[in-house]
Amino acid sequence: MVDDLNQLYRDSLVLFKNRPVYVEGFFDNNIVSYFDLTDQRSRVKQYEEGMFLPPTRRIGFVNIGQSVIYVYRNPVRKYKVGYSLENLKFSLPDVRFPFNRTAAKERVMSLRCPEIVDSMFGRYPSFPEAMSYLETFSGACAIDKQFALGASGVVFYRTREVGKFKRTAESVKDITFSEGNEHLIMLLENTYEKATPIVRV
Amino acid sequence: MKKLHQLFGYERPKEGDFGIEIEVEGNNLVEVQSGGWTSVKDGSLRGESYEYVFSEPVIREKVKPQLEFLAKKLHKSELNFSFRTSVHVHMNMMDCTEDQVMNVIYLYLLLEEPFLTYCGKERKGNRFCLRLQDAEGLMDAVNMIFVYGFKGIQNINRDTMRYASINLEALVKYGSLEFRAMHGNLDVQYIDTWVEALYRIRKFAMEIKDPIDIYNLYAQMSPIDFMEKVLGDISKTFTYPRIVKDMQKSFSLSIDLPYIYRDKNDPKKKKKAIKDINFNDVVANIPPPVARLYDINGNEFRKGDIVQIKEKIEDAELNWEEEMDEFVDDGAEYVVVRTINEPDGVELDGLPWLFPPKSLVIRRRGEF
Repeated sequence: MVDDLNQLYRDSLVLFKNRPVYVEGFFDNNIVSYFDLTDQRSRVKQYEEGMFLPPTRRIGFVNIGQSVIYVYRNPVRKYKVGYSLENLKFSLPDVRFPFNRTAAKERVMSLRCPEIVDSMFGRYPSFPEAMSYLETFSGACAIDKQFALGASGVVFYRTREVGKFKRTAESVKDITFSEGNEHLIMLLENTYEKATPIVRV
Repeated sequence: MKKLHQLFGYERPKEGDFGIEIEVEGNNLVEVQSGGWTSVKDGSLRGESYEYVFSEPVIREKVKPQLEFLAKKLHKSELNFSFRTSVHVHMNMMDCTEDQVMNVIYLYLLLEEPFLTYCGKERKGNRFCLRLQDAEGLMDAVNMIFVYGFKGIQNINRDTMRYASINLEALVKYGSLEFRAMHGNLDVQYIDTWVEALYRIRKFAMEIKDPIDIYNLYAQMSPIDFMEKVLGDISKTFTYPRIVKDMQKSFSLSIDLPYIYRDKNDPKKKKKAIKDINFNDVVANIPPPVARLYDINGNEFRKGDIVQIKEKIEDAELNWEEEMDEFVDDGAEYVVVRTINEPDGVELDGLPWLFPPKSLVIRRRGEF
C-alpha cells in the first residue's frame, strides 16, 4: 500500500483541499508528509483515500526572480497523479534572469515555490502593473498564464516571441504582434479565461 | 488528396468504424471470445480483471448490438469499475485525408470539455486521459500534424502523447484516433451515445472543408450553437452550466491551429510555422528516467536487445500466468522496445504485456 501510494504521489504536486501541495512521501501506517506551497510549511497527516486530487489548474508562466519560466505538462505514460519532473516541461524564454538563471530554474523545478501557486490560480499583474515593474526589472514579467513581457520590449506567447511593445505602452492594444500572430490579441483583450473570437482568419 | 490508409501502404482502408476496449475489475468475470469480443489481460488492472476488446473494428450500426452482447455475457458477474478502469474508443481514420484528420482533431479539442464532463467529471485531470488544458504538451504533436500533415503523424514520439484524452499515437499504430475519456462502465446506452458523438464529429469533419472553416463557424455563433451544429440532436446530452466558459478556454488553447493550417499553405509563412513548433528553447526538460533492469543472468537490458522468455513468474499482481505458459521456452525471440520503472517491466515488440525482467534471458551476440 505504502509503495503504491509513493508510486502515485511522492515527489509530485497535487491538490489537497484545493491547495497545491508537494507530496514528500508516505511512511508506515499510511502516514503522509507533504509541503503546502501556499504557507510554505510541511505537515504530516494520516492518509485517507481521495485526499489528494490531480491538479486541474494549469501552471503556465511563472513569475520568478524578476523573470519568467513557462511550465506545462506532457501527456506522457507515467504513473504520477500530479505534476512531477517526469511529466513537466520547463521553458526559459530568451530573457535576462537578474537573480541567476540556474537558481530561478531550480526554484521552479523544486515544485515547492509559492510563485507556482500564483500561476495555478491565475494571479498575475495587470498590463500597466507589469509595465511599472519593468521600469526596474531587467528580466521579464508575465501578465497571464500564456503571455509575458520582456524588459527589452518583446512579448512572449507560451514558448515563442510574438510581438513588441514600446515603453510608452499603456494597454495590450499597444502591442504590435508580428506577422502571423495578430490573432493572439483576442486572447489578451478578452483575457485568457474568457477568450472569444473577435476576428476572422 | 492522399488518405491515411495510403500512408500505411494499404490499397483500401480497413473496414469498420469503431473498436472499443472496456476494462473491468470484479468477481466471477467470464472470459468472452465470441460475439465480436476478445478478452485480454491488462497489467494496469488489479485482482480479477479483464479488458474486453472488439476482435476487429465494426461499422457504427453494429456497436450497440455488440455492447449488448457483452452486457448479457457479464450479467451474472460482479463488475467493479474502479478508477483504474476505463472505456477506450478507437475511431477508424484510414479513409480520411490529411485535412479531415485535422478537422476531427480540431473539432474534438473545441468540444473536449463537454465531452469530458459527459464521460465523468472525475476524469478531468485524470493521468490516463489528460485534457489539453491538463497537458498542453499535446499541442507539440498536434502542431506537428497541422504543419507537416501525415509526415507529422509519423514523427509523434511513442509514449509522450499516449495518455492524452485524444491519443494521437494510435494514428501511427492503427490508423485510428483513440478517445480515452470515458470512465469504466458497461452502460450500453451511455457508451453508445458517446460513440455516436464521435461518429458525428467525424461525419462533420468529412463535410467541412478545413480547420479555417471550423474556426470561422465557431466565430459566427455561440459555443452551444456550435456544438449543436456539430452534434445535432444529441448535443443537449453534453450541456452543463459552465460549458460556455469551458469551451472558450478550449478555443483559446487551440487558437493557433487554424492559423498554422493557413500558414503552412503559404511557402513564406510555412517557414515561420515550422519555427514556431521547434521548441529549441526548452532547456530544462527532464528526460524520463530509463529503468535499469537485468535479466535472469544479470545482464542489463538495452533497447533493441533480442530476448527469449525463459521463466514463468508467479506474481499475484499479474493475472497472466496462464498466458505466460504459452511463451515460456517456446524459442521465439522478441526485441526489447524499452524498460519501464513503474511497475518494473520490459516492453517487448509485438506483445501486449510488460514482462518482469527476471522472466527473460537476453540473447547477446555469440549466444545464438
